[in-house]
Amino acid sequence: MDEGELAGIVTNVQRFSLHDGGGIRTVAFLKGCPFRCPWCCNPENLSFEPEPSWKSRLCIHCAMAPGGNGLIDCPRPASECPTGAKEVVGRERGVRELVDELVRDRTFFDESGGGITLSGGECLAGRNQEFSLAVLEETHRRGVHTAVETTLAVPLADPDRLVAACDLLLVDFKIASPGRSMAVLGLDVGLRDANLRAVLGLGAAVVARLPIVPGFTRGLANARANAERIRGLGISRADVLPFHQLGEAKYASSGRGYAMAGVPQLGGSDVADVVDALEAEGIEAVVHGE
Amino acid sequence: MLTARTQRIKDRLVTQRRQVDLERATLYMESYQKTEGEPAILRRAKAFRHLLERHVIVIDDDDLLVGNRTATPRAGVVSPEMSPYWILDELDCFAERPQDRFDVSEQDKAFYREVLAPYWSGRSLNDWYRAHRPAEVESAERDKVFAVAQTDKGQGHIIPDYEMLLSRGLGDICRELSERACASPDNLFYQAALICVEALVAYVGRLGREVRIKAADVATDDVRRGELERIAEVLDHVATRPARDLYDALQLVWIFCVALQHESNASSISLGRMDRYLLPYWRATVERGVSDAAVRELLQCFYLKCNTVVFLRSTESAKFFGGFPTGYNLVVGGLDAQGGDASNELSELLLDLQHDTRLPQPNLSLRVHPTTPDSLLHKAAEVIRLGDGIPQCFNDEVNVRAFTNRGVSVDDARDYAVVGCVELSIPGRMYGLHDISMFNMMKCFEITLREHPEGFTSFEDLCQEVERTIDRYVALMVKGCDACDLAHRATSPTPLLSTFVHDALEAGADITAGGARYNPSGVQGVGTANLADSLAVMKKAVFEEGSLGYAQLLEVLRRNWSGEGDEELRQRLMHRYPKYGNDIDEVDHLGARFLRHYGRQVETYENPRGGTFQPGSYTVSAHIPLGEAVGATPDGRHAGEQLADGGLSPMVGRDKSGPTASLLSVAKLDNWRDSNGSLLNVKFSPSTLAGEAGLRKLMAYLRAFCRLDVQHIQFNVVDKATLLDAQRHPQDHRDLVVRVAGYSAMFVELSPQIQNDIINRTEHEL
Repeated sequence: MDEGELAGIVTNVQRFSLHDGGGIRTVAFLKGCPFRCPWCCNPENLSFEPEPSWKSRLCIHCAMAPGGNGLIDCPRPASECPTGAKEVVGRERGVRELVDELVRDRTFFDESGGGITLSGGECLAGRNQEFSLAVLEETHRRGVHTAVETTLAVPLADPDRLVAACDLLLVDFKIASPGRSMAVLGLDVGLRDANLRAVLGLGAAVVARLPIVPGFTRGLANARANAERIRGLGISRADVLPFHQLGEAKYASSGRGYAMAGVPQLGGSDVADVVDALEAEGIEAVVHGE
Repeated sequence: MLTARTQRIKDRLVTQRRQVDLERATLYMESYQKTEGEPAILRRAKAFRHLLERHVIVIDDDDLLVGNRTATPRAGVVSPEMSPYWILDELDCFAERPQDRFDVSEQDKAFYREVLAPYWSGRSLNDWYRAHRPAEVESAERDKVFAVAQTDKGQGHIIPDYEMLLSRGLGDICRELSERACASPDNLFYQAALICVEALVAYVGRLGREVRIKAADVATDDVRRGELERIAEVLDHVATRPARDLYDALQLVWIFCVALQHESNASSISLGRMDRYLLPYWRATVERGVSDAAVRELLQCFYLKCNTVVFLRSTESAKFFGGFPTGYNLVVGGLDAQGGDASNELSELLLDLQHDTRLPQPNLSLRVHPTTPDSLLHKAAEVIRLGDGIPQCFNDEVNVRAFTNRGVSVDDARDYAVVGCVELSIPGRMYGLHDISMFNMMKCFEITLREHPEGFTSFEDLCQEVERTIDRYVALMVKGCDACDLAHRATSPTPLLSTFVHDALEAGADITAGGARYNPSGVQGVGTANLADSLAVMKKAVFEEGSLGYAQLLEVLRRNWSGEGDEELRQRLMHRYPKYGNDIDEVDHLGARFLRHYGRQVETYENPRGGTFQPGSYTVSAHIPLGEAVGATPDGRHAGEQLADGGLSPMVGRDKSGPTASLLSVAKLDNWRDSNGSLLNVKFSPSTLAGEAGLRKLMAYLRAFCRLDVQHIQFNVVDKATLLDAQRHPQDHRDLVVRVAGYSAMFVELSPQIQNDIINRTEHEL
């Protein structure tokens, strides 16, 4: 990282991502999120600071007895863990060095209509926003398609700059009721919609993303309310993301409790209902996203 | 979908128990007993003729094509004239061994022990090889750096000129041979070739008579009788004349394939660019109004036929090539001589047939280049997604260049095809000894460390010493390969095959005597990934950080990580140092350096046929036995553990950055140098390729593969759960086909070791 260069905390760069903005993509996960969705599948990205993580699957118990919790019982610092079971999640990275890595797959981006995607956490929250904009701009300078996955429910310092640097915004539509959204998630639906009007007014390409989660966003009423709002904003496409349990192990690794333990996967009809609700509003629906 | 007929044929194929078949060995001996003292090439031709005269013909109840290699399908044909010894040693093991089992009757065992083995002892190709192999090669082979192949079996690994067969017909070729034999009465090759082609003409005639007898037997069944009469008419015609249509062409190609097997008993006499040479005959059939369904059924019969021939290998060889890779490699797509797209209507159809047959042969290969039509690539992606590992894909962008770099003309280079698994060859013009040896670079690394207990002053010193060890053993390997090359010339010429390989007819020389236009010897450098990983660990830990002493490392490796604290060290070396296959330049470039060095060393040697040695890099399933020969290594491998699969693939479980990163790692190698062919395995979970969007992404991945100048790629698309279930309940998965390496095989017919290897190859899923 060059001295004085803008830096951000990145937990992971994931290549060959297939459902995050079209084509074959490389996704960078930025650390930190002001919201608290109980079904979050990236809990290691909630805090804005680097944090310890321990994967029991990889642990060979070289410094603590079997059965222990590496986060508490292992005396070794993560830097000395032989297997990488214990690690510090989140590393400060400079813009250019990160973009160098993000665009390594550009041959695949070119052939598939892919590019890079910034995700999180909330990649536009707090200090992440300035860093994300710089990363998007640097990526654009190198001729690569850019996308962000965001709630857009955070103050935007400069919507013009965002729209200029970002080719596609993937914007979450979770709990439709503003009151409940604020109460459960801490997420201001009104702020998001205001931001959406601003960026759409500037010509941004936007795809809505609807996570379908039992107990929170499942059900026809929520789907219909979101679909109406999506149509009202003038967004023509939505990705439907059925709830999954792939994030469960990360809760244990990061020492967090998991609210969704044991909740079963969705049935086909739950997803079909949402697709119907969207299509009834004239919105193209894509399950899992492209 | 298979028809009722072809489904019955397939059902019999997959349920049939495999037998060892002594018919060929017996007939061969009978003939050799009568030709003592004659030149080898004439003895071989006469033995071939005797075989075709006496071989038992079986006409299937359903099949639309005839031509049986053995009395029961998938029987193992022994060739004691190549080597009687390993068969004698293993006679009692065929039914029990871990890989490629066959039944042998007690009566056959006794006949083999008492008659065949004593006759061939001292007379075989293997005897010649061992008598002429330099002593230093024999001792080097014991170091397990390399093992010369085809010292106990036919050479194979070649594509004859099928277009010549179909367009000229056997009669015209006979006429030319007679003329040449008359003009050059002392030329033994012409005499031998004429004997062989005339024997083949007579054999086709005999097949026709047998079919007519069978037709008379089924007089009550009008439909089948009509079919048999049609087959007999086809046989009468193609016995001497050019093919008229698809039926003629497929029947003639198949009988020719069977005859070539009778001549050589060799793996990988491959099918070449079938969409090219079948096209006029397919058109003639379609234009006559034959229905698509009838065309499809005929092609299904041909594909099923390709699965009736398996190759009986020694137990050791079966470890290297497990699961009967017979090598009916069939290529579609690619460039034409002008550099344009050569694909046609047949290309997609020949790929699409895999939907119906779902069997390992023919081993379908797609040649990809920048103007490969999207529709063909889409069809290939669809078939790949079936999960049989078929087709594998070859990259014209790099492979044409690989050939021109070896002095092959641009026109010939653009016509390349594939033999066996992934070996690149020029159809009808090249006798390439493509599978003559594998070279274990990891063993060279291990020997280097062992010979230098004092250590090295620098990392560069270490690297150069490894290179010197490689050079030393390459020189020995070359001598061994040349001895084998000459053994085939002296004892086992192949005049029938040679007749269909240019320019043997013009030269009047068998291909074993240098009659082919192109004459390389292909030797595979194995161990790139493990060598790069091991050296990257040593570079950092020993030479840069100093966190690991050289003597300490050697001691830990010697005791195979069994000491106090060794496992912790092993984990650290495995997880905390960069590994090949993750698009990390410093380690990938180490792999590139050594594969390049190996190739540059190899290509300095000439062979006895006037060609040069050329490098390749594939393992088939040999990464398992080659790994067994290597002790613990600094990349965290245990002693005896497998090496990285494929040839160019990352070590199993070490590529954690996904399939784009691993492809970029492989792209850093001098892939154009590996003109003998190289192999990359990639495994996708089925969910990754779901839906049209999944197919589009696979197509994009293949387009990127083409741009990145990687030679070859193949895919396993089966989920882990299915494979684990097939291990537990093999009876429920008898027809599950998976990719091994360069070829596909029935999963349940693979040894547990190879099964586990396939299960463990990294599955990329998101």
